[in-house]
Amino acid sequence: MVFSSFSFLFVFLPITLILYFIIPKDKITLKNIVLLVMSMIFYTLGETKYFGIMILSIVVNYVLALFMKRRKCVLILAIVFNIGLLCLFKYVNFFICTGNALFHISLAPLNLTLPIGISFYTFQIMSYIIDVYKGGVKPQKNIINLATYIVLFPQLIAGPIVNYKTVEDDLKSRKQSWSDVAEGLRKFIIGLGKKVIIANNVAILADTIFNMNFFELGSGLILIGAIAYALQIYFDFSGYSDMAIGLGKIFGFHFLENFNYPYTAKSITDFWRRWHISLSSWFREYVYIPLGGNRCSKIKWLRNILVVWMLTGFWHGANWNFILWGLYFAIILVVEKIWIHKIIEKLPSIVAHVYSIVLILYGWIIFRVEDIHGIIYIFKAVIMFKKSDWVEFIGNNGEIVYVVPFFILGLIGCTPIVKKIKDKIISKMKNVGLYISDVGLVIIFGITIVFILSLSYNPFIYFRF
Amino acid sequence: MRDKIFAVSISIILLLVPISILIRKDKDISLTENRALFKKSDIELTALNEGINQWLEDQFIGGDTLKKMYNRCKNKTINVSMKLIEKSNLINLIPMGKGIYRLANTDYMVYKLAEFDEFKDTYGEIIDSINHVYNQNSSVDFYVYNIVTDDIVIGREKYDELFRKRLDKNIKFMSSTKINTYDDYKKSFYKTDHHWDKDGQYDGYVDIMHLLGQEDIEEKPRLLKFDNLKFWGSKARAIGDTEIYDEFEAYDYSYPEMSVQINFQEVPDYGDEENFASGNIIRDVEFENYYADFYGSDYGIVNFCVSDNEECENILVLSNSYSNAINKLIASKFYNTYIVDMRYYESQLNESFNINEFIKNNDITKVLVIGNHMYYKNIKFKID
Repeated sequence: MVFSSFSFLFVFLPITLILYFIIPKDKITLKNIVLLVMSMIFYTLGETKYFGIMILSIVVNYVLALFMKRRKCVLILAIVFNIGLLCLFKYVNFFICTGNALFHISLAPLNLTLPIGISFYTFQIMSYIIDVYKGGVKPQKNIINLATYIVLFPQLIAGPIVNYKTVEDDLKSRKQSWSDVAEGLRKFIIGLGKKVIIANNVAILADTIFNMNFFELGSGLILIGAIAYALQIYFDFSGYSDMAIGLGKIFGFHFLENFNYPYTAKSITDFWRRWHISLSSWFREYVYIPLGGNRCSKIKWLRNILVVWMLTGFWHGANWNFILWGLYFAIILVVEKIWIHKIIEKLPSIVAHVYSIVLILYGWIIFRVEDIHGIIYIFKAVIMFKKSDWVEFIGNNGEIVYVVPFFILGLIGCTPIVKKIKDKIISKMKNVGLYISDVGLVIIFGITIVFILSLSYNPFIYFRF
Repeated sequence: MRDKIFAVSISIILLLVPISILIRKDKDISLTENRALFKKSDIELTALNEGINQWLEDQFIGGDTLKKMYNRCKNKTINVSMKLIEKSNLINLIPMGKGIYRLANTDYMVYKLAEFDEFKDTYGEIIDSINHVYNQNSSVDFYVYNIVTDDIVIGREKYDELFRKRLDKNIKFMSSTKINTYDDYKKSFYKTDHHWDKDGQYDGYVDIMHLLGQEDIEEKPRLLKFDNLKFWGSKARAIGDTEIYDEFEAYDYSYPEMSVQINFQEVPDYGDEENFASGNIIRDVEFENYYADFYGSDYGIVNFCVSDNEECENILVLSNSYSNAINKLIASKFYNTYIVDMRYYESQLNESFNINEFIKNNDITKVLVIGNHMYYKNIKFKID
């Protein structure tokens, strides 16, 4: 079930809201049970087959955490169990295929599909387990509370990755207020609009270009395709995160922001402080720092960066292009940190932005074009300034002009311009400005309903990770 | 206070939508989308989420209107953007969606030019099937007429050459004599429909009479006008465009007395020309197919018998809907005229069409194939 479906918006969400809010404010355990049951229903409606895996994961991690008491062997057992499950479903076929190619053997791939959200909830569980081991949090004795944390439907399938300590207090006691509900709904509508109005439409442009024969692509088309994909993935993922954060807030949970205008970054280091913040923070806290971070020899530090970024790439998918994508950013980050970060700081803002955007777009090309030969051809075409046949492109894809307004909207929307204008109106008009902004959100909600009704194109990209 | 108002408003929307859908009786069909709608009773437990989702989307109150509104906005955006591209004179075919283009700076909707190499094999198969039947019935005269439509108007020579080279030398062949450019096309075809218009039909009729060696050709009669009868043809219907339409007109031919059978059942008439001429027309219906209403629809077999022409020959015409407009004109010159549409014969008569037996049993002395690109590229029209 996706948030931008009618079954979620008009059946699942209203039922959950009614059940949740008819329970008195002080009955937190009862409220958690409602959330747990509804989250399990939510998960089962999208993933019946692997529901048992989720339950097993909850029970095993609950028990292991109780027995942790700073025992390293229990920690290792928990990590092996969680990473093992992730590897089994996500990576085993990749390893089999790579092994077959490298050693000229013919092992048959396993007939396994990826359980929805496994990459996200595995990382959440591991944050809990590691924090319990380090003594940062106490083991959760109430299995309902732990299960609620793991399967909480707002962030279950596409993040943000919420560390246990972020919601530890909320699981025990949380306030219920009109302000939180309204703020949550506002955030949810903004996310829904990002996904349905912008991401779904620019996706048509990105898909049209990247589904073409690579040899037909000129530099111009590749540039437009890469920008469209950059907008698609940003509005898709940040839209989903906004919806998750908004829903969390409605139920009294306070998740951290996952994006902070990443395309306004002035360096790649800056970009990764603004993009998928929950994943970067997770890797920093649970991989990079335990490996020694930057408080070690230069060689070890370089190794740490390479390991973290290879894993980041690999987390996104079991394919070589994702590993390449991770390494690409690892190299740029190393270069920035060692050699050019002072130069970048002195650059005029516009030059720094262009530098970042160009490298980010190249990164998205590696990410989007899964075929290594395709990536090489596209990089060559861009460098050689291969001419694009716009007439042929428009002739063959006439409807594509329809997405131009959404493309422009996306370009504006990925900067803080809209927020600045909104803040200005509110500061000038005070209360009236706030009401106008609410009316605007209701209109956006109405538009998304019309779009959902009319667009059959509605997949969430981050489902596959 | 503001937070309360906002939260309550959104909650009301979230609750009212499903409740209103739930209490209203489910609609069976969508007139806009021309399809059956998903109903509550169609929801299955094994696909609960998908079922609920489809039910809500299909039964959404005002859904049809909202979808129409969305499509209008979408088409407007495409049109405005395309007008800008059109003004730049960069391309001569302006895409309108669903494989339909508009000739730049005109209202004519056309299909993209067909790649000869892509279709030459299918053309070859259809031609071979005609040769094959001819060889089994060499005492019968065979004629092939190719209507040049938008998809081959540029590059028609290649197709003509293929017919001339591949058709048996004893089969007489002709291709539209008056359509060589898009400008010629505009004079002979509707703006929004794939069929030929009244003038294209007449020119085609004259060509065919020449091909058949008939000298007695009807003169162009008076024009029947139907007081600005808006006709949205197949291409406009396909993309749901209401802005461009044709004005439906026809020539007022007078035919000899003839009996008509459709699929071997006696019927009063084929088409509805008399009702139209007397002004009895269904009006104000968006996307009404006046071509079919006026001239007649597609059937497996239509038989015209002109009792006054008893001394004349019997002809078998193998064609698609293009001939509908001139079926009666052709029939006027023969005793029995059998119009067979291979696409529908088997499905409507529950038996396959055996052309050799048909020729023998009905004293057929002439076989005429009338087709355009849609005909010769469709393997269903193989006649052997």
